[in-house]
Amino acid sequence: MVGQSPQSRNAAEKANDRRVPAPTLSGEEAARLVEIALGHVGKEFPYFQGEVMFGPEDLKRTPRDYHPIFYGSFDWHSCVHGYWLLARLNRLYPELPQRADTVRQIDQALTPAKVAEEISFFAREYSEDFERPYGWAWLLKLATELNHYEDPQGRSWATTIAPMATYLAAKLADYVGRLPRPTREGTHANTAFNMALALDYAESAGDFRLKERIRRRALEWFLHDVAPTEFDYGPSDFLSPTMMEVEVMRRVMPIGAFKGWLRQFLPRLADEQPRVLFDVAVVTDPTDGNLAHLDGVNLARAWSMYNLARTLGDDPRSAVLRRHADIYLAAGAGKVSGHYMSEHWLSTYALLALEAAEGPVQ
Amino acid sequence: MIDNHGRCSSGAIRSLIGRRGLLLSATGMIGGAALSRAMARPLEPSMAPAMDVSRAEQFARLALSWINRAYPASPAQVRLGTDDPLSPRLNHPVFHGCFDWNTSVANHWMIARLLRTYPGLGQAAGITSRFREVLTEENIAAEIAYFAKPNRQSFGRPGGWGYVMMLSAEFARLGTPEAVNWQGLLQPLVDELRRRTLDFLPKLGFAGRGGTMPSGFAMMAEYARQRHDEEFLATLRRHALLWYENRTIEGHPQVGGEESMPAEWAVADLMRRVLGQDRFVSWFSRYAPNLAADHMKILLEPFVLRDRGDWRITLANDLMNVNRGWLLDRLADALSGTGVRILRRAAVRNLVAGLSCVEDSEYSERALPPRVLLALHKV
Repeated sequence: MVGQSPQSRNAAEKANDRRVPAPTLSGEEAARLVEIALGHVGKEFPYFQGEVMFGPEDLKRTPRDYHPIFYGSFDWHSCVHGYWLLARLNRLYPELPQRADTVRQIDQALTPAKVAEEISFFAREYSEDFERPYGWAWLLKLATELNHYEDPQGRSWATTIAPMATYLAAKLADYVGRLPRPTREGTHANTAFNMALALDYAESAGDFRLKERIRRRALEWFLHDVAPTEFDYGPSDFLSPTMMEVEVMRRVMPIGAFKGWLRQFLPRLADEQPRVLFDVAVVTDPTDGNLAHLDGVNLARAWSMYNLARTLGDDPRSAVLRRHADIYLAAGAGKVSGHYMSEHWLSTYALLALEAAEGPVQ
Repeated sequence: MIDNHGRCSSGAIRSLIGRRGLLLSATGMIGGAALSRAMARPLEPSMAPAMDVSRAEQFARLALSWINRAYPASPAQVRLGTDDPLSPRLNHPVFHGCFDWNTSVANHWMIARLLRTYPGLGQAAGITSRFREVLTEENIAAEIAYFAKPNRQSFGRPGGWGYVMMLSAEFARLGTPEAVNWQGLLQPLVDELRRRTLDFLPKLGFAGRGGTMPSGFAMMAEYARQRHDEEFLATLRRHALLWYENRTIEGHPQVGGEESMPAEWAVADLMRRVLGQDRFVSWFSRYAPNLAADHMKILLEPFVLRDRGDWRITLANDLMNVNRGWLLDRLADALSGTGVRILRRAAVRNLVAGLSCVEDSEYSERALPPRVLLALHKV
């Protein structure tokens, strides 16, 4: 028996019968995702409050008291990547009807005083590892996006967030250096995924220390890996551990070496093996925040399978990957609204997948 | 208390060596010329650490001191609005203190067990008065009500729930009129968590790689076994088989640097508790056919952390060693043949490594003792 449920296997088999028309990123779809994000980045409750309290005086503190920018979206990291989505679609689709609202939302958030306060939170006792590494990696991704802006307002946003990105990049480099072995579960802590996001930042910001640290660690940890065949993701995961490893290795290895590594890591990819990599994840209870994570697995797989297909280029495996990526995208893209436990974060992964389906966009 | 070169506090090491004459050569946790001669001696199963009154009192003292401290506290709460109270005392009138709910529950289980197993314990009065104070009908009702608010289904699931059930089993075994009364007061919460578990299990059609899930369900299975709750045990067995019946340890097992529960052994421990002895032995021989294989080393050898400057990584490392020591020892008890010696030796090495770190930091003081007790009492 493989690790997945009978019901997900059936879903995958059904989906395999035909080529699924995958959703595409259009102005309309972009507007829908922006609308969803605008609905939660400033929504303070419900909120997963994990901030350590030091005494009764902290009982009245709200998320906003701790985090003047990233207090919405159910939790800090979702708020950070909600802003990433807004910043990215605002830049790529300047004609969206929500443009004025989006600009206003970002502009009121990104002030030097608020950024300084967000940074100072990490100096608080018990908070030095708050949101490490996932929230940090997304903050770096947000800074990367803002660095692409060329208009004066966008340039000013990039300048404003820069001190926080520099600060967290240094902390992340320290963490990656200290971590004795990578986390391979497909949850927030997944080391490969976080390193992949952080590498994008390191490239764009010219942070050679971070880039070199991640490159060295990725090779040290993953070079001799063979993907497990009995399981990939777990019941609370939103990432595919196997595909996230591919994501980071794709970034740190020259193409020839990467292809050799892939033959060792996923030797039977052309035969759609291991089977556990091609089973559509099925959420059994969308109101249960942990179980609802599985929609993310489908979208994260779509994202990384499109990316891998592009890297492999003219290769029989590319068609296999694209066909399954379409299935995953179709399975996940419709889940971005309806239940707040998905709505506060899933759009970001839909956007990653939709963009990967289209091709490289700067 | 900790330096950055892989050594635990010298006090802990002195007391360990003084008490047991044990060496940590394999773990690299002690340095210094004074110890180097003795370090050549290999660790043997006969050197296995054991519980004694002084360790029991050390653990009880640590637990009471943290349980009775309301702050610092991490609520880890899905908060619905400014009028949704955050107060640990209000939300968790039984299991507050000890930084967070999960840790608090584990430490309450531990002090109940220490109270039962060490009758002359110096902290007995402190433990008794804690239970007298917090175990009331209203307080249990409040603990139950906490779960009923939206988006809190996963709070403490399944590890903390397992400890609540184990606490109830401890009260039952203590058996004094007062303990029976405590058990009766706790029962509605146990029933609620049992009901929630039965509701949750059918939603878990598969398992991933992690150890926390099987480990939590293993505690529930232990409760079910002790309390003769055959229906609950059968349900856990059915799901464990669905997830793990055909699982094997593949050629490239991995252990994450921030993981604290060894997944492969937690899975085996769950299977051990839900299957009968014969069925478990045959399952295990397929699951881990060759314990002596090279690739098994990462699952057997204690981890040595050279850089102990980061609390989260350090705590995970030490918990991993203790948990591994506990689970390997229990597996060795259930098996026979050549693998037993490998498991037993590895168990001792891991336990010794983890045990020396109990008082390393406030995090280890709260988190390690209940795990050490599970190990040394062979739970």
